[in-house]
Amino acid sequence: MRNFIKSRLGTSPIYFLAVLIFIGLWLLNLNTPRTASALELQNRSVQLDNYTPGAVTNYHFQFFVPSTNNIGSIVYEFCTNSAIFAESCTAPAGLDVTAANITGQTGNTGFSIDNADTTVNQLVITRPSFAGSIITTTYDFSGITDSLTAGQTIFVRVSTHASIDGSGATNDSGGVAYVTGASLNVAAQVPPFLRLCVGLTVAPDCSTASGDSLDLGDLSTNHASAGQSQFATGTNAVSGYVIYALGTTMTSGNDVIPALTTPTPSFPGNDQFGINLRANSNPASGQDPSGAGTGSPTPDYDINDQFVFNNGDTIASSSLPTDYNRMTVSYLVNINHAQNIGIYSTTITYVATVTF
Amino acid sequence: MWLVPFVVPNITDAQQLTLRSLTMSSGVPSNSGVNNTYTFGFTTGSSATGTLQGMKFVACQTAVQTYGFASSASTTGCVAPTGLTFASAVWVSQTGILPTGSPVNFAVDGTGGGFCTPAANVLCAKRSSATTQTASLAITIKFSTITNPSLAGGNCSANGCSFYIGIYTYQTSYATPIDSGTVAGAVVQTLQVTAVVAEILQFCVGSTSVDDATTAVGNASSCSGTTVDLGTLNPTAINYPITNGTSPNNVNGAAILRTNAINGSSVSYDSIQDTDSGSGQHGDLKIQGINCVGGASPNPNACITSKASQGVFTAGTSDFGMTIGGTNCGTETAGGYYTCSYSGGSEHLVPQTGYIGWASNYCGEATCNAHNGFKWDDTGTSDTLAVAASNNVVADEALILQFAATPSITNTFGPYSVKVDFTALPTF
Repeated sequence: MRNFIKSRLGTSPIYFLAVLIFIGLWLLNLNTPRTASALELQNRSVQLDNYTPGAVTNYHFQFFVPSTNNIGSIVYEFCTNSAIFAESCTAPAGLDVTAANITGQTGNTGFSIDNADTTVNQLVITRPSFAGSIITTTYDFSGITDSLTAGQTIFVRVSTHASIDGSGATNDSGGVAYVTGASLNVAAQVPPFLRLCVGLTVAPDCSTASGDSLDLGDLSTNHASAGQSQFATGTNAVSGYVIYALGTTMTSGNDVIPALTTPTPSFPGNDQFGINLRANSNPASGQDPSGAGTGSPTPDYDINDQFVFNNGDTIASSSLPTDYNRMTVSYLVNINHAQNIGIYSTTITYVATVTF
Repeated sequence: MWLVPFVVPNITDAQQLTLRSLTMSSGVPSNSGVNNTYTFGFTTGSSATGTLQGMKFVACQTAVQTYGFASSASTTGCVAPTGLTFASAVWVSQTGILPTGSPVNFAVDGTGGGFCTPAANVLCAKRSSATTQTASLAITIKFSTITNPSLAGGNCSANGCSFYIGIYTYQTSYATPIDSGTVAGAVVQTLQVTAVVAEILQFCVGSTSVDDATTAVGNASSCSGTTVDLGTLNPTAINYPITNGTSPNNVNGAAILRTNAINGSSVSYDSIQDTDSGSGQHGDLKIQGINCVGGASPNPNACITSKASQGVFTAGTSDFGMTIGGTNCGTETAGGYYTCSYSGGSEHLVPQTGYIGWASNYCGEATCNAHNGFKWDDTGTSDTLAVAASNNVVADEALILQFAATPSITNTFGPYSVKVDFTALPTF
């Protein structure tokens, strides 16, 4: 170029003037030289199936071709610095379009990958050159490796050309953009849970519990005395839970009402103290277990109208993490004619254990 | 364009026209047409002159002694400006020439005679009026449909060229010269100023302690923080990041967008799928690596249930979800680009159904649960959070993302997490 100007300087000032005018006009036009009817591609967008940095994924381009300029090739140039064609292009680190395949195309169709003119950050598709259609056009590509940098804006300069290899003047053009890997972590901790509530009445989910004393009234040899309390429990322990009943039978000083050591029906007139976790009709007391959990009474305490009590017995359990179950404990007391007068009482403690 | 002469021809038997000017309607080279006008202004000599019935205008490339005051030759000593032509000139108006009450107008004379022969660079104008002119008349006369010189003349450079027009007045049509003087004009290369506004897309996701729609969050390139912490979950409560998170992660999420996309834009999210070997629920808030459904040894309790449809949470009923507390306009408002108010409904980035915490009202985390609640799509498919309509560019508007979770009592203890990708889709 320098030699050209020098040679003409000596022979014709007009050439020099023309060159100056050309340079001036070129400097004034900041954009890429286009054909006279070059227009901007409209409604341009690009969408990725996976925005994870470095992912090999599918790209979906869409734009509206605004002219009938011949289209023999379309160039997609990927840059990190700018969508402006006249500016130099900084290739995204790690991005690679050389393995791209066309998986779909609508609108202006008939394209295939131009491998000869495709580079790491410039994808060229080609077809025989003929007039474009003024229509919304889409191209789907697979096999593109995205930039390795998270949170990076990638500009893609899209241009149509009459040539079949992406060379020569740009016809219609426009830029699109996307951002790689804008991600957020959401974290939480779930601690071990074991919830047990005890009372005369408790809510199914242990949200409430009330009462800690049960009065069975005056004991009689003619009929059974009965009462009830409740407990509910749930856990996220993988092996579930075990509930024990700790305490003694009812006593009054040295006087004892013997406990039933095996499940036994109620026989008024006999010394009996026992519990179970079922709905009973003789005497009428208790409820069957309820709730969505997997907890259940152990076999000895799971028989209607039969009662038993052994200190430290397992009365209920679950072998799995379980939602809440509410169980109702029925207390049975019978006495014989020889039972000494007195105030009989006991304290039963319910203990739940888990293995985390 | 208004230029004054700086060289005056010296005609010994005529007076000097003073205060001369040429006003061109356009300085564009080769401009032409009915709207391309030349208005000549001058003041006549200081002594009485008799009648004024002829005028001659001669355009030349140079100004010194080139005009034929008493000559009909248009090119005597004069090189015509290339491209200039008076051939289609039309008289438009005049002022100051007597009589003024009932003016007798000049007209372009295509025939000429005497000292004026019309040519491309010679304009003859005449009238018939016996009115005697007084001294020192301030006169203007305007002609249209003149073609400007091009830039091709020898007196031109690449940037423009000047030319000169001698003005001659005559008592009769081009005889008995009265006064003369020269004006100068120029055409210049027009300067086309071009610029390109590039496509802009800035989008980032991070965390923020801002919990309203008006406090500036920052711009779309200033995000910080990568984690939102819901804290230690408890089936007796609903956990929220700001209330229950652990510093510095007791924050909301924020997705900030800046784009000049004119055909709309949107912000979406998709939950990144855990690589467990199960058959589903990979995008739940879960213990990573454990199958919640399907696969080997599935443990459904290792996932906190995703709220598939937006709704309020009840403590103890396993649920995880996200909602938009509001679109924060603080940074945009500081920039003053456009009116943006979430409470006023003028935000450009509009939350979409399913993720509106409380329509047109900002909601903090618990307040959101008291209104529309939360939602989470665990499938890994893209779900749209907010949309800007066509013609609504977005200047650093921030979606304040509220999260909530509550476990059931059976949810397995351990660390739970989910990673979510946010994407911006501008249409330029």
